[in-house]
Formats: sequence, C-alpha cells, structure tokens
Amino acid sequence: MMKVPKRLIWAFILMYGYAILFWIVEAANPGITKKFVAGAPLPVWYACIIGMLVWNVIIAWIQSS
Amino acid sequence: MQYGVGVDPVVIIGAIIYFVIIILVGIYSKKLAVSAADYYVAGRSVGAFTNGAALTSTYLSPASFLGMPCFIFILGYPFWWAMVAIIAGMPLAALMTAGPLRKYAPVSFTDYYCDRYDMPKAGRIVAGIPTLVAGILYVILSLVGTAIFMVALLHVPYKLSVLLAAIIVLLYTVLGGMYATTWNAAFQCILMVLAAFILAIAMIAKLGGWSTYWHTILATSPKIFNVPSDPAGVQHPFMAMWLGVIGFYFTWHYGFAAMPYTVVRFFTAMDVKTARRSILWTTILGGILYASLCVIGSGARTIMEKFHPLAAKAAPIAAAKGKPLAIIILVLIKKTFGIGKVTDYAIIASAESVGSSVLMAIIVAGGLSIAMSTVAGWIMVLNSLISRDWMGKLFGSTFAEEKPVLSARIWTVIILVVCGLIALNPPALVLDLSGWAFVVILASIGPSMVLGIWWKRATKAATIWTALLMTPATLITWLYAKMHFGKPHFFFLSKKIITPHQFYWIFIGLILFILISLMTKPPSEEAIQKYCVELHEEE
Repeated sequence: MMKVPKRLIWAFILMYGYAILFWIVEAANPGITKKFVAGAPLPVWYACIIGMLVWNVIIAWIQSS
Repeated sequence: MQYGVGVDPVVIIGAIIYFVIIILVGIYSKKLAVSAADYYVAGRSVGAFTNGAALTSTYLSPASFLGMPCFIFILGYPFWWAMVAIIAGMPLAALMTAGPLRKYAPVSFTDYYCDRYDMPKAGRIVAGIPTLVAGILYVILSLVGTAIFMVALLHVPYKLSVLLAAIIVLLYTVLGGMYATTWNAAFQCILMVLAAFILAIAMIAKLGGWSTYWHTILATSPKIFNVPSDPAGVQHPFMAMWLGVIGFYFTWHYGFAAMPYTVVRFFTAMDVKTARRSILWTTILGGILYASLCVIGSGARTIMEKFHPLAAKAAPIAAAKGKPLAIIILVLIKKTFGIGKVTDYAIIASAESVGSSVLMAIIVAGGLSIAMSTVAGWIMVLNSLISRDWMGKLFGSTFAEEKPVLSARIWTVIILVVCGLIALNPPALVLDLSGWAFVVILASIGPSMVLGIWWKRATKAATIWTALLMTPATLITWLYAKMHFGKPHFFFLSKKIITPHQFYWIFIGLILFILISLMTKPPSEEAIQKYCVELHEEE
C-alpha cells in the first residue's frame, strides 16, 4: 500500500467535512442563511469567509509541519 | 461618451502606466532568458511569494473577474460554494502535486507522463492534445476578456483592443519567457486582488455600510440566499437541487492540482518547500480576491439598479418584459459594445455605479491583469508543448533542439496570431467551451497526473484509455446538453437533472483509470521507486 502523508489525509477530511457539514446544516435549516443576514453584522457570508480563513490556517499548518 | 459614462483621463493614465510597467519587465527579463531552462521555467529560481502571486493571477482567468460576480447575483448564494471550492482546491495541490512534481523537476507538463508511464512519444500526444485544445480555448477567452475591459472602460474599438492585448502579451512573453511572465503575473496579481478588494469596500460604503449592504441586497433579491431545500424556492433553477450546488463545487475544484498552466508553475519554484509555500500565498491572495468577489457579486444587482447611469432608461423595458432591472442594464451595455456575453459586464457596471474615476482606473488595471496573466500563462504551456515537446522530442526537429529559445519564441508568435485572429470574431461556442476545457483536462489526464504519484498500480494503459475515452465523452455530452437543452449545465440525458458542465466525468474518469490500472500490466519497479517512493521522501 502507498504511504499517504497524514497531513494530506487530514486536509481531505477537514475540507470535505467542512463542506458536507455546511450543506447538511443548510439543507436541514433552509432559513439559516437569511436569519444570519437579518441578524447583521454577522451575515451568511461567514460561511465563505470563515471557510477561506480555515483553509489558510490549514495550509499554514501543512507547510510548517 | 457611451450611455453617460465617459472615459476619465485618470483611467487612461492608469491603463498606460500598467502597460508600460509590464512591457518594461519584459525588456528587463530578456537578458535573463538565455537557456531553455531560463525560458521555460525561469531558471527554477522563483521565490515563494512571487511564485504564489503568479500562480494566483495565472490560474484565475477573466471568467473569475468578469463572469463570477454576475453568476452570484443570478444564481444566488449557493454559487459561493463554487468560489470556495476553487480556493479549497489549492491546499490539496500543495501536497498532491506541487511538492512531488517540483522534486522531480521536469521542464514541461508532458515530461511527467512520458517518464512515469514509460511512453516517450505517446505521452507527448496523450497529455498534449487535451492541453492544446484547452489552452487555445483559454487564450482566446482571455484575449476577448482583455478586450472587453479595453472596450468598455477605455472605449478602444474591439478589434484594436484584441490586437493591443495580443501585441503586449507577445512582447513580454517573447522577450522574457517565464521570467517576464512570472514577474508580470505577480504584479498583475497584486493589482487584481487590490481592484476586487477596493471595489467591494466602495460598494459597501455606497450602500450605507456593512449591515445595510446585506439588508438592502435581501430587499432587492429576496431569494438570493435561498438554498435548494428552501420551501420558498431558489433564485435560479440551476440551484434548485443540491446536485447543482455540488456540481458547481467540483467543476473547478481540482483544477489547481492538475491544470497544466498551474502545474508548470510548480517547476519554477526554487525548491520543494518554496513550491509548497507558494501555495500558501496563492490561497491567501486568491481567498481575498474571491471573498471580495462574493461581496461584489451579491451586491451587483442592487447597486446597478440604484445607481447605474442606465437605470432610468432600462426601468420601463424591465417593467415591460418583467425582468430584473439589472439584467436589462447589462443587456443595454452589451448592445452598446456588441461583444462578449451579458454576464461579462457585471463587474464593470458595478464599478460604474460607484462612480469614481480612481476606482475605474484600478478596475481597468485589475481586469487587464487577470486576463493578460492567463493568456501569458497558457502561452508558456503551449509554446513549450509545441516547440520543445512536439517539434523537438516527438518529431526530432534539429532547429527546435538546437535553438530552443528561438523556436519557442517563434511558436509564441504563431500561437498568439492564430488565437488573436479567432478572438477578433469569436464564435459564441468557443467562449462557452472554456467550461468544458476544465472538465476535459481533469477527467482525461487528471487521474494519471495525481495517481501516478500516489498509487503504485497506476498504469500506462489506463493513462492512454482514460484520455482516449474521456476526451470525446466530455465533449459530446457537453455539446449535446448545450445544443439540445440550451445550457451545458443540464445532464445530457435529462433536463430535470442539473450537472454543471457534465462535472460527473471527473469522477468517472478517476474510477475508469483505477479499474483499467487494476486489469493491466503494472508499471516497472524503476518507475514505482522513482515516482511513488522517492518523490514522497522529505528533503
């Protein structure tokens, strides 16, 4: 068997886990995106922005480990 | 003066400064591009930030800047996921392909296929044909994108714009090769990220601040944030099912790890660590750009309908046709200039709605940057493919072998002339096909690229058969959906199923590659040792 680096496996798990988690939450609570908008200053955009920031952190971890 | 929006001298000065800088970089780098390694891979001397910034501007095509903000206001929030997916694909590339391929250090994209799968001639064709087709499509698309910015914001005639764009890219790629392309791409990245970020801030300010911004958007487009399971329905039928959302996610997601124009940039980095670190910068810079584009796209309709100079003229037409006012504004702009698609004008119209000449100058520079860097990136892939790989290695041309830099420069001219001629009067289908271009690369030669490094059983037969089957399969189904149903986003057998750009072929290609590999002769021990063992060892 091929030895795949653990950090690559973790990157996959965190990436798709993140997306699937959000899709499940959104599918189960379709109004959640608008509720966040109404409750500004924390609009639904959090999903996108936090997602990108999380990826920056992950990549920083991948590079440095 | 066009529809009340003239060209401010500040915008013209901004564009001139931009052109002068990139041409000077080309002239300066000429003395550095002496050997073939200098010309093709910048002497493998590029640092992490420069390489990362160059990767960002090369990978993100004008479709990102021109089209994606419009797709957001048309398709709604679910399309954010497509943009997140593009950024999310970058970290995977750091380990999957960037590190190992920089360690292996080939000169061209097809070198890897030839060596890993022991097919010195066939590898150049198998990996080369999808690359050539996708590359030509992208160069044409990007030349048209560059021209749209010049036409709409500088009011330069379209054909002259194409000519200017081709000549300027030609100047710096011919003179400085990968050195000039890399430094200019890094500079262009800074410009385009700044342009998107500043426009996003300006739009938020124009609509009254962060909180008001989102509330106003929701008031204008009540369904913009709806997801497929919302009982109130979604903004657009393409987002009516989760398969559509997931399909848009995966269409571009793996591109960064396997598209030729990004992969060759892994070769230019100083070393393995630099190659990986450059992706950290790409993720940060690309993240800022796409985060800004999400803001711009969400507010584009609202700001156009409130502040665009054409809003008053478009209002009665919109009311008569029962269409959103913003769409009619874009239709009128498209009619004014007569080129591209309606969706190409969203970011330009948004910037015009803010009404600042300095902002317009920044948008011109950012727009030209994102388009020209993609042209240059693909040109470097194509000249290396045709001149070095095909003419030199495949057909044994002594000229290409003995004078590699001159040969590459000649092919750069030929490619740009051909693409420029097509771009002068581009068939609509050619511009649409860029979506297919992504899927064909990922489905046909993507699996052999990634699994060749990570799976010992990846075989030559699987590489050939996957490319042979996936290339026509992706094209035929894409064309069938486009011709039969009007859009390539419907599943080709049923309009009831949404499968953007027939993305499922990416996974079918992967499965097919694995199955054929398991059924065919394993690769040599030497290839396994070199690619599946040594490339994984840390330096």
